[in-house]
Amino acid sequence: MYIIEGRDISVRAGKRRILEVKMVGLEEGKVFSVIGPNGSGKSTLLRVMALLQNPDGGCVYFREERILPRDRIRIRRRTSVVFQEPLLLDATVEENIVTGLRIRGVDAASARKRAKHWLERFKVAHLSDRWARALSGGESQRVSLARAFALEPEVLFLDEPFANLDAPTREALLLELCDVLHCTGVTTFFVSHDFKEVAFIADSTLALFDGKPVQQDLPRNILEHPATERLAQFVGIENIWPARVIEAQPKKILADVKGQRIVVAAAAAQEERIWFSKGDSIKIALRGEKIYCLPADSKNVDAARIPGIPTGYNLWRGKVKSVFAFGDIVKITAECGIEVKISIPAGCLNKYKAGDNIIVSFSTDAPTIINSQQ
Amino acid sequence: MRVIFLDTVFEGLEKAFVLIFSLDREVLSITIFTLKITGTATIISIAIALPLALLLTLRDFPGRRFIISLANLGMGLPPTVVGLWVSLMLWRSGPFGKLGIMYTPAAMVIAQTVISTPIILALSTAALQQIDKKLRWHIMALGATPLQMLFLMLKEARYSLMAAIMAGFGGAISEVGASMMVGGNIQGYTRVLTTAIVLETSRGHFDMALALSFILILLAYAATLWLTLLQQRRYRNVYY
Repeated sequence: MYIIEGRDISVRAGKRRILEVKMVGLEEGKVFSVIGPNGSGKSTLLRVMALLQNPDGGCVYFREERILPRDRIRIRRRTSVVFQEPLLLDATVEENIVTGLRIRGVDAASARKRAKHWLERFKVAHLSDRWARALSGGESQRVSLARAFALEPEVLFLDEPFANLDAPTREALLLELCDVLHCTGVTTFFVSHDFKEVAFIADSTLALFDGKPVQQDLPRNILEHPATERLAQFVGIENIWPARVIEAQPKKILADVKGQRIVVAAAAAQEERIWFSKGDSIKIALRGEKIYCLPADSKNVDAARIPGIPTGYNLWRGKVKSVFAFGDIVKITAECGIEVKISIPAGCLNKYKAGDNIIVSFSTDAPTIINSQQ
Repeated sequence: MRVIFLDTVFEGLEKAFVLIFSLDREVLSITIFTLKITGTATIISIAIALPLALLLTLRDFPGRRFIISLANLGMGLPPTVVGLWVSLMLWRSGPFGKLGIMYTPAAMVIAQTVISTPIILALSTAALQQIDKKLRWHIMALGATPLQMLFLMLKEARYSLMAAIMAGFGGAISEVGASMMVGGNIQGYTRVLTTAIVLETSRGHFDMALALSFILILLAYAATLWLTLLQQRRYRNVYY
C-alpha cells in the first residue's frame, strides 16, 4: 500500500504541459527519489505531492484517501518539507523550530523540548539562540532538517536539500541524513539532480525528463542500465555509440560499432525488458571507469584481455587524443576507430600523453544497451 | 542683517525652550491634538493598507497592477490637492456635505488618511512582495491556516512594515495644506502643529513657531529613533 500516491498528475505553465505523470507512489518507510535535469518537473512534482501546488489534472491520495481541498491543511500537518534554500523565518533558530510545532498545536514546553532534541541530533544545539539569518549555509540546512524532523512527519519531502552546499558539507550532511532516516524510518520523497546522492540514499528512483517519467527502477539499475540516451548522459555515462546487431544470442549480443566489434552481455535487469534481433539499430553505453587501458608498448598485452571474450572483441588499439586531470581522476580520450572516453585514477596521469598508442578493453557486462528508438 | 537674523533665532530658541519645558498649555494642547489626529489617521490607514497589501501580494486579479500603480502615485500626492478634493467632497453642496464635518477634526482625519494610506500601501506591498515565494510554500508546508499564514508573513516583513507605517505617519503629521483647507486652523478645535507654525510665522511670533517646530521635529525623531533601534537590534543579531 502506498502512503501517498499521485494519479494522472498533470501541470501546465501557460499552454505548455510541464508535468505529466500517470502514477507515482511512496511505499511506507522507503526513500523514493526523483532525478532529472533542471526544469524536468521534479520540484513541481514534489510540490504537487506535498499539497503545495494544485495540479491541473489528476489527484493525490493519502493512505488511499483522495485529498480534497478542505483536507489539505490537515494532511500537510502530517508531512514536512525541506527545500533547496533553508527558508528559515526571521527569528532565532529555536523559534524557527517551535513555530512549526505551535502551528500544529503542540504546547510550548513540548515544542521546546522537541526542538532541543532535534537540534542536538543535527549538531546545532549550540546555535539555538542565534538569529537564523546569521547562520552559514550548512548550519541553516541542518536547522532546516531539524525543523522538518521535529514535526515528526509521516512523509518527508526533500527538494534538493544539499544543492547549495559545498562538497564536504554536502557529504557530511548526507551521511547524517541517511543515519536519521534509517533510525526514524520515515517515508521520504527525495528530489535531486545528483545521481550519486540518489544512489546513496534511495530505495527506488523515478527519472523525469521534460515532465515525463522515462524510467522507474532501483537507483543502481538506473545508473547501470539507463533506458534512454539522455538519461545515460545525465547519469554520467561518457561513451554512447550507435551500433548494429550482428548476432543476437540468449543473454549476449554481438554488435558492430563503426567497424569495431563489441560483445555485450545483457544484464538481468535488461533481459526482461528488451531483446534484439540481427540488423537492429541500438546504442551502446559504456562508463569510462569500466574501461581498462594500458600503453600499447606494454610487454604484457594479455593483461588487458578479459577472460572469456573471444580474441579481437572488446580489446581495441588506438591513439591517445587528450589527457586531462579532474581532481582525483584522469580523463583520457582515445581514438580507436571510434572515440573512447576513459576514466582512470589520478595516479596514472604520467603514464599517458597525447599521441601515445594505447590498448583499451572492457568486460562484456560493462556496456549497456539502449534501444535507439527511445 | 546677519546679526539681526541670528538674534531672532536665538531669542526664538530661548523662548521656545521656555514654552516647551514650562509645559505651556497652548503648546501642549496643540501637540496632543496633533498626535490624536495623526494617530487616528495612521491607524485607519493601517487598517485599510495592510489587508490590501496582503491581497495585492497573495492574489493575482484583474486591476492588481493598476491599484499598485495608483498607490505608488499616491505616495507623491500633494497635500493641497488632497485638501481640495476632500473639501469638495465634504462641502455643503458636495456628496458628503450632509455629514456636516467640514472644518472639524473628522475632516482632518479623513484628509490625513487619504495622504498616508497610499504611502503605507505602496511600501507595505513592496515589503511583502520581497518575501521569498518559497517561504510562503514553507509556511504552507508547516500546515498553517490562511490566518496563520498572514500573521507569519506580516511578522516576517515586520521591520519593513514598521518603516512603511512610520513613513505614513510622517507624511500625515508633516502636511499642512490639507489640514488647513479642511480643518480651518480653528484655535482649540482644529489647530495642529503644522497649521499653528504657519499662523505664528505669519504673525511674526517666531518663538512660538520655533517651539512648535521643535516639538514637530522631536515627534518625528522619536518615531524614527524607535524604528532605527529596532532595525539595528535585528542588524546586530544577524551580522555580529
